[in-house]
Amino acid sequence: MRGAFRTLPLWALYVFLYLPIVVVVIMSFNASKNPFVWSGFSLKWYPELLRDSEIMAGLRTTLVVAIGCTIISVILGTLLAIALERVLPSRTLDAASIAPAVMPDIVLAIGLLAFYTLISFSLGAVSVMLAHSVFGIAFVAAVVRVRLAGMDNSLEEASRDLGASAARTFRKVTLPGLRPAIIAGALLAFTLSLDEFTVAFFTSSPSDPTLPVVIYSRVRFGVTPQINALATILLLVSFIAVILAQRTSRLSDTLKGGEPT
Amino acid sequence: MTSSDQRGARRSSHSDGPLLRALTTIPALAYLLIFMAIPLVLVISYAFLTSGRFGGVRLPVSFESIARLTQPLYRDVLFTSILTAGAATVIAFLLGFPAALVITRLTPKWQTVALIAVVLPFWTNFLIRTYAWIVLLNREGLFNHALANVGLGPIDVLYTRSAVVLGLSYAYIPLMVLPIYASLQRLDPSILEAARNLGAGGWRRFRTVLLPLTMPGIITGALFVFIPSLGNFVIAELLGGGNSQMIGNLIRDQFLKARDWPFGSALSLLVLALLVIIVMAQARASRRTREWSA
Amino acid sequence: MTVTPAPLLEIRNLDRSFGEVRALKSVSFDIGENEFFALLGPSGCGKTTLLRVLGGFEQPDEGTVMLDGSDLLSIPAERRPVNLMFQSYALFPHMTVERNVAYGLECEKVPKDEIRQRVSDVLATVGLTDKRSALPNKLSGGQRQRVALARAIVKRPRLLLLDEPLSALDRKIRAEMQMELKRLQHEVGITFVVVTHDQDEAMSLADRVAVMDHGEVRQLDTPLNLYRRPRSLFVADFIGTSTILRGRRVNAQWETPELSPLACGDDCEGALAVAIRPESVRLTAEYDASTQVRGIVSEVFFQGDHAIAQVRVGEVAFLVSIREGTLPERGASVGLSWDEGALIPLVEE
Repeated sequence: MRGAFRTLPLWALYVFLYLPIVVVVIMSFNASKNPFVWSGFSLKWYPELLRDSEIMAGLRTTLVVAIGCTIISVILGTLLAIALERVLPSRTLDAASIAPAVMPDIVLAIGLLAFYTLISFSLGAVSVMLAHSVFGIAFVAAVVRVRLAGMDNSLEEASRDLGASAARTFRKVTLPGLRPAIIAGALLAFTLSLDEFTVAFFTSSPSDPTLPVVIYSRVRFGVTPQINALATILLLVSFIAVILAQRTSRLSDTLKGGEPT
Repeated sequence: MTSSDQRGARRSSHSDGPLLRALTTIPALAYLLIFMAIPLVLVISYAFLTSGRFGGVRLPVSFESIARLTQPLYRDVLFTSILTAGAATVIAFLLGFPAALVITRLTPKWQTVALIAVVLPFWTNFLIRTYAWIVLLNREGLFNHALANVGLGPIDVLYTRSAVVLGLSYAYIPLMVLPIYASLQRLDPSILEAARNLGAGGWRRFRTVLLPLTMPGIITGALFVFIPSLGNFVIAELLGGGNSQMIGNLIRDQFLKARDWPFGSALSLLVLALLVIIVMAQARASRRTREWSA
Repeated sequence: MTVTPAPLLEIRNLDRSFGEVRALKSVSFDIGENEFFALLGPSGCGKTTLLRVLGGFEQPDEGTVMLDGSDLLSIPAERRPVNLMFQSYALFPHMTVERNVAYGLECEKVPKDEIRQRVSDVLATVGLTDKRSALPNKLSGGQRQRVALARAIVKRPRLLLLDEPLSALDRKIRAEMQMELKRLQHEVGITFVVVTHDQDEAMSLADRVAVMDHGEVRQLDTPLNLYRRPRSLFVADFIGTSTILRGRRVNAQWETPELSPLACGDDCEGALAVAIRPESVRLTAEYDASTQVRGIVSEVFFQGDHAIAQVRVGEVAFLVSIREGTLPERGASVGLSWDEGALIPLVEE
């Protein structure tokens, strides 16, 4: 039917995007060590993962980093969003909040490395966490802003008119209204940190790498089945996080609106 | 922006203005200042310093690093790097623009689903996604297996520049689709119908109406693909083998292997310069678009 | 009124459904050369669908459309000798007035000199010569509409379709544009088809109007006949205002449940209801021999050159137009009368 042909470009894009992902997922269930040969369905690589101490250590570090990054990003990002939407709209602040997204990550990565070296800050989980938060703040701010812009101001004004202080209004009226957006922003920041490679590569300590850095060192030497399993799990986590974020806060509105000045 | 300006103005008419303002703006600003602005300044300034004996930098101020950028060896790498990133951007556009167009024709509910589906892969670890291409493109990989089944010989794509271009466009194509979609959404659909009614065929409609009116979105999309591609070293390494060097690889090497930070910074300066150029082009296109909006 | 000689456009049995909804139900009618035609109806009546079918943006499920005797539907949208003026005007925002108007000619690959000449001529016709280098966003609503018109007219189409042409304009500009459109149509000699939900627009512009409802053409006639001789309750109600009395003719009288029987002529035989136009009703403060019903004035609406009084006669609200004399007070007892010929028989719903 004519209609099916019209949507071809979109399907082509989806095939392009998802083919490698589907391949990796399927391969994670491949009983054979050799990824180019299928020798039956097997779940054995998943428990193998748990026995891999390097991967487990990387996972631990990454989780610490991601959680820390999420906390920082949510707090500062929400404040930034409120500043931009309600308190002090300004084009410089606007630009500042978008800058992390536009900045090439390798430039930021080496900049942070230079910075940490300059102040003799030892590299480790914290250095990565602080680095990731730069991006995290930008994303949380973007998501919360959209929500704030759409939120009816009159509830807050009513609260102020009834005598509540700004802090009280914020706690009892604004914050609950923002909760879905904050949750969505938190999920995004978490996922971002979980998967981020370039900045982590430069700002983590060699003895305490994040998971993506571990994956990198493994993948350089070729394809291994545990990596497939790990990849599948990470994909699943990321997918769930993004879909949850969409559910709670209609992420699509941010996407639909998005075009920097 | 005007309505939030108005709201902002209303807001600050309340008496506890200054404290509120400070509380909300300072923490985030301070953070970004420390962890984004300062590193940026360092990178820019290091390009003009000399390499320290054991890495790092020291005075005196020197233009040697910048000058080295013009050496033939580096000039070639830079040139091919830009070409590769450019090719990836073009491919991302060729695939992304029609896809964005299709999305705008869906019902609103499906548009949301389609957009999320486009963005989803982007939120996964791009190492894994790149690595998946290795599995696919390898000599004994799936593509060649499929080709062998139809009697065609194996294609050696892996470890060539084409694989790098493919990997780069793959990594960043969602970021091409989103801004183009946003631009298309803003278009009055009857404009395209009017063009058609006046006698314009598909190509003419694209060239004279669609393209000019979505230019800001296209440039934004190009920005989001081109710049990260330049700075990406992983994809060049994993998919291109030793054959392909991007600016990103050079930067990485300078900072971690050769320990020549000034030169690494000079290279970064180049990437930043290209970023600024594209951002200015985008600003100009946006300005022109605003000129003709009601 | 029949259209002779061969009509410009012959629409036969057009049918179009969207899922459950049948937007066009076997629509058939003709449009003549050089006519100013209107498709009038409430939203959802199918007029926009019909417009889009003619323009080539929709394909009907069934039916044919012949333009100058040849099949229109098989011609792709970009090659039809039919041009549209969109409700939003759809001007190209990034092109000057001149380039907007020239666009259609460029698509036809007309030589540059000819384009320049024709564009100049048409801009003079619509009175926008001094705005030729302006961008659309610098023009007023009325000016933008004239650009949209010029853009369509310059291609010399056989048929010009106008989608709600006056809806976006202020009242004062609307009156001006109405005259403009009429003048233009005569000057360029193109058949205009206006699609609108506004009956004032349709009635004042068109030579003939097709009133549509739920995918069907309920009545196709001149504005005068539509006003004086509506055939259905729908048309009587949609066009102008009237007092509608359901009932039936019994023993040479019109029997209606709420009132005592009224005198009526033979033409009311078989009708479902009768309609009385407000201007046909006379209102007197005193009851006299001619008074047919008596009632109480419940509301008076001042309209400028006349007033409409709503008079309650039992359960029925009569609408009366008052052009001279003092306006009645609310609550006043009045008598209403009319000529027998004022009763308009309505034979359909």
